[in-house]
Amino acid sequence: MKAIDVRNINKAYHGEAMVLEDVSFEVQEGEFFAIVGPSGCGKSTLLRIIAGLENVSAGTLYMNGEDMVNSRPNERQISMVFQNYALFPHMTVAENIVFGLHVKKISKQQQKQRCLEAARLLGLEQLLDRKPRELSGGQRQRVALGRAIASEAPICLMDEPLSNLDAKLRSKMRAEVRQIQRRLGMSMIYVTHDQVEAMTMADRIMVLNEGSIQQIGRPLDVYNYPQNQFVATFIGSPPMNMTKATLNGQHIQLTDGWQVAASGWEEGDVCAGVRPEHLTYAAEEPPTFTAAVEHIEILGTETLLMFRMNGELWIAKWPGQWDFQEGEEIPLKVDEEHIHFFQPGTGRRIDKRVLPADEMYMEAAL
Amino acid sequence: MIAVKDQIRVRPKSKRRFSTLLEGLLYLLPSILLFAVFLFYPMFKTIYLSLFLTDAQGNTQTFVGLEHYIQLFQSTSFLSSLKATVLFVLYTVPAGVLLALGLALLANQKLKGIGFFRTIFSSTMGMSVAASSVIWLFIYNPTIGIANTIIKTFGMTEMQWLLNPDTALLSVALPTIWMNTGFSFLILLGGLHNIDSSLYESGKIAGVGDFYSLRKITLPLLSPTLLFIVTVSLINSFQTFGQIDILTKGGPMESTNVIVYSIFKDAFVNFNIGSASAQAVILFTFILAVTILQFKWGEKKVHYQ
Repeated sequence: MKAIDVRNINKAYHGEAMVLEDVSFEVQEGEFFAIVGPSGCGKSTLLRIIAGLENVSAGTLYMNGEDMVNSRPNERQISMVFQNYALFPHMTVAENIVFGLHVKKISKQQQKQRCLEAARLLGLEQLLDRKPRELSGGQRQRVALGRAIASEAPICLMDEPLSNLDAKLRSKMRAEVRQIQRRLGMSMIYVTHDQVEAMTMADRIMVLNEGSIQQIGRPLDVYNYPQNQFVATFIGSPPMNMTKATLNGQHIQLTDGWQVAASGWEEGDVCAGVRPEHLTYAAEEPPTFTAAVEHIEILGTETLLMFRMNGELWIAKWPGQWDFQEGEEIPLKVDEEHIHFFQPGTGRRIDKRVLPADEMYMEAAL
Repeated sequence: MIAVKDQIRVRPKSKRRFSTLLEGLLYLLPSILLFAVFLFYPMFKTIYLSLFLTDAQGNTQTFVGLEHYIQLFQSTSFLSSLKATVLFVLYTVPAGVLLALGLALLANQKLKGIGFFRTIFSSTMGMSVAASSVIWLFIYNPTIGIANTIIKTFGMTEMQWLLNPDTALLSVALPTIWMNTGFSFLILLGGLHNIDSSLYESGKIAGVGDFYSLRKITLPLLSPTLLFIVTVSLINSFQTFGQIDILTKGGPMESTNVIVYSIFKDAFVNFNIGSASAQAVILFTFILAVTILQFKWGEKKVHYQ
């Protein structure tokens, strides 16, 4: 069953700048759905529309099968976790967790029980009498999660909840949030600008840019088959390497010495892209091309090699530790199947490979 | 860090403490100087003068000890003056703060043209006491004043606002509330702006009512600002002088003769500087005590973030 069904939502402020343009997607019950995009792409606005904190300019919104586009936030059966946690500084952790439950006519005893359950789930039992200012960032984050859990709303909305934490804590909380969502079976819409979060946590992700949907799909599909140039460069770190390539008879010419067969090709000039991990070291076999190392970063488990390709900075990611001198020529190899092509004007993917069906995956996941 | 530790070990503690104290005082020197000239010296001089009989120029004549204080607490005039002051504070502070809070809550709504109202509500800040007192003098004028015109349209009889001992203090309190509202409003509006909007949004999602969120979110988070405003209004109210001088001159029948006005009359009309100083000292201890009490009470109730 669909938990949320967003249809053709438009949002404009003061009738001028379009913040969201014709956004449509659906979220299944129990699904972890991440909305990812650069800052200012409209992802937070979209979440606030779903929460009922902002109005839509046009479009409809169904939640659990009911038209909810004009209903108040508390009628939507949602909980929301804010980026700054929205904790009340004058209330204890326990009071913060059960905040607002009295509205739903839940007895004091039951409130206490829910509070204890949420606290146990999050490891907050020892902190229930503290005030938020006596907590660390990660603990505050947990209290905010606790409020969402205690409300027992079937839909949970999260607005960049981990972005105020340091890197180590973030990766820990990533796993924790994901586990809790699974265990409680809530439908989650999770907004983030961090593509790693989206990739690692979500069942499906939606890439948003300048208010319009770029691609919706499960993380690996989006990673392996980016539908346009924006998605290709936004998802993945370091981003996909891009260069212009020209059509030369039956071949696409990437550089002077590197060409790929293109029989029955209808496009003219194209953009070609290769992920950093697909630029491998040509040890024995003849290299696809060679390049002079401009800069090298050894990260311990992997090594990043930067070089110029038709004037663009390209990055190759090799597993292990490699030591090259700057300026040294290195032989590189690229499998043809790992080259992505995009139309230069629209940025759209040019592809004859078929995407695996979305529905098949969803059944497997649920 | 290591270097600092070594320094501590080398130098004797007291010597080091003295040199940092000296350095600190040096930084504070400009403000200490100003405070000393305009606050500390007059304050100690006042205490000193309150223990003496003086001539008309304020030169000390005879040491009388606490004689002035004893006399004051036996004089009906001073006691009624104390009563008038306390009443005046009770009339102006709660009403003024509540009015400013109400206006601030209204002006904090995100509505079109709200900037206009914010300007209007805070505009009394820009009015001098003298100018606004003169305006109210016209309002209260028994024959041409708008106050009487208004109550006549409601079928009531004309009133001698400032000349009737029963209404005079209230009639001075009203302009005072009006004058103080601008400042209180502005500070409270600033306090409201500082409350994180996501707290209200969280409340909206939980579905709590407006009154509940006012009581459980707004007021607790505004409490530091409220404490500040109540304290400042209280002190201001205790020290009211200008509007009394212009509107009633302490009359009729000393019904508006608040302490500061009484001090002024004793010192510069009756040239009884010793007694006036004693009154000033009493007022000072009064305000000090109230402020300390307020902070003691506030510590428990106020939530600093």
